[in-house]
Amino acid sequence: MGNGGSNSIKTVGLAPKLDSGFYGQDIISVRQFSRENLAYIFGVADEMRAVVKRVGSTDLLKGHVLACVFYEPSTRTSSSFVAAMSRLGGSVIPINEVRYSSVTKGESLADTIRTLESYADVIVLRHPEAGASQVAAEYARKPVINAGDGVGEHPTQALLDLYTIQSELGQVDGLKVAMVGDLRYGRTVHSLARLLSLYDVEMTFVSPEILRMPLDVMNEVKAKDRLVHETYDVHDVMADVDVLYVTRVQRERFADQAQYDSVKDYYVITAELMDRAKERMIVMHPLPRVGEISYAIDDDPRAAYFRQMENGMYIRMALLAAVLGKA
Amino acid sequence: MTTLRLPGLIDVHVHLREPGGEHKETLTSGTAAALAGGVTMVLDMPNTYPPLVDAATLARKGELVAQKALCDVGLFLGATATNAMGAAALAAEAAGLKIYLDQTYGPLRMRPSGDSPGRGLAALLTHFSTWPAARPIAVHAEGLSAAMAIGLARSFGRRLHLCHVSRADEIALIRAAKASGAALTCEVAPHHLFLTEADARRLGPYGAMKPPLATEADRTALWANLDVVDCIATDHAPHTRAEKEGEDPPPGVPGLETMLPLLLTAVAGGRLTAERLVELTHGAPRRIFGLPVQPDTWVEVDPDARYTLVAEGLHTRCGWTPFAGMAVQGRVTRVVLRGRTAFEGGEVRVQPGFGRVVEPVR
Repeated sequence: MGNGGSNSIKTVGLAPKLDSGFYGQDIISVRQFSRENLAYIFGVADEMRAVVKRVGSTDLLKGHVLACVFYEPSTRTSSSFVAAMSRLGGSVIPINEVRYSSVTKGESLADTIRTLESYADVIVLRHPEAGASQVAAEYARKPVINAGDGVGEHPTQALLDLYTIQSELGQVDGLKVAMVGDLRYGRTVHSLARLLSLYDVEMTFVSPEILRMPLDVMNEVKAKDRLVHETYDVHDVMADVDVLYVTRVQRERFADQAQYDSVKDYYVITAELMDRAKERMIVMHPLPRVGEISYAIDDDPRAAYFRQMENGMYIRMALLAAVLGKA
Repeated sequence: MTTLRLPGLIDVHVHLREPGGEHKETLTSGTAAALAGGVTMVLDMPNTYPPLVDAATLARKGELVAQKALCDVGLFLGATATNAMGAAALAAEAAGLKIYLDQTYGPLRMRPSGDSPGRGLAALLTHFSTWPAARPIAVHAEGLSAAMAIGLARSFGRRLHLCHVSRADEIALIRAAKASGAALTCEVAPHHLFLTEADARRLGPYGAMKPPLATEADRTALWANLDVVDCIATDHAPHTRAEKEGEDPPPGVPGLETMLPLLLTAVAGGRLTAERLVELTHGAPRRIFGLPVQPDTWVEVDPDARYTLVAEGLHTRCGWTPFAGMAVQGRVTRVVLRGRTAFEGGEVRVQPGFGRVVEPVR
């Protein structure tokens, strides 16, 4: 059948192996990701984890330069990117506290980006305005990675969250995921819900009435035929949840102290609550936490939030290597 | 030449015969047969000697797998009249609970034969009420026993998985039960899809297994109702030639190495799509038993290769197959398991112990 020389591969039911589909790409939004390229990036992150554990670092990006441009501070995210680039053998130009002018924002952002890309091979941008990363990406010829732009997106956080779920529990399909706390203003839970809707996941949104998950996110999730529930009390989900993703409910969101006091206990994770949970499940939090997860459960093996942070470095290593065509 | 690449097959019903039956098959030879058949994960049944029914036998079997297996192995826990509490405590580590409601090979039958149908019910009630609802209960239950098992599962809200369904009446029962909302899944073995009682007469003891090969009408009904079948599982049950030709031949036939070639032949013949094949041998088994994904794992086959199945060169220790002489189309050329080439060129390429114990992820 056919000529003897050619060899074609047909794949059924498997993610095809992507060859640097990320090379030169900007990482701006979780909407860029499909199950296939998520599987690919997670595979690279696994390799990065193995390298770091075994030998600490690699020379994969030696000679490459990352410009880490933070218009607003975030020690956690910036140090994670700096560590990631360093462990890949590359160097970093850290640019913090850039002077930000709301009047000339578009122009000065573009000039800043254009200047930086003459020294650097890849730019990581953190900016207080939603959509800033998209603007930067349009002006830049080098890859731009969005490290958070206002109330817009923080895609690398969503990726490390999803990667954590897969690493800890083995797969994402079939899981019950509960997101707890401030779901209205929580950028991380919006992005995570969007990513999770790519999988066969049942989601429960646990929040006070005034902080419910916005309708557009709910509709996006339901449009993928995923089961979605809402409740106001985390006790309702503890018995069979696989992933408990906790975020902070700020007192400032409420009209008065009394209103806040009447609901705050529904969103705090205590050791007693964990006694009700399955043996095999995880508790996650984008950190910093301020009391919504009791310190008493830090040593519970189901507390995954510090491992989650470590995964952030591996995911960022994977993304840096992928957009520079080295993975 | 076209290469078809599929996810590693998951066979949820095998008897690797270790401990206690190593002359028929060992964990090493059985998993070699698996790899040769494109199977990268098997769920091993508990009717060994001693049977796998408690923490000690589970731990011991885990050690054997870690030392001897070539592909990954999950372990069923066997139900006895007295181990319901202990079994439930082990549910997170086991592939599932296995209950034998009819007579077959091994020491684990739960239902006393003959007159008094009331005896034995109490033990079953305890198992169905104690075993965690989220974990599946697999049953060997033929005919009326299947109906009984469905009734028990519904009464206690348990997830039931019916093993080796073989008959038209059983498939009709399953269709009705599923339509009424039962949390029910089922598997069919390749030998019931490709052989009938006519072949049993031809093969003699080599065609004898439980449940036995059925009529042509039953076989047709299985194919016609494949939409209510969740997965294909071999019930790989090897016995030596000497035993099969002896006084009281034990029931059971091997099947690990021949499942994929037979199913690929069906794809080539238009009876099955490749997508449905993947669902029956990978997607559904993973979901039903909550099994982890094996990363970087796949099977490569030459979907156009035509040949005849023969006993020579088989990796199963028993050295024979009931499908000998059948013309098939589709040959396994390579198996990659966790990034390593585990089988290529007709030979296993990894060492015993490369395979791991599999525990459910939910």
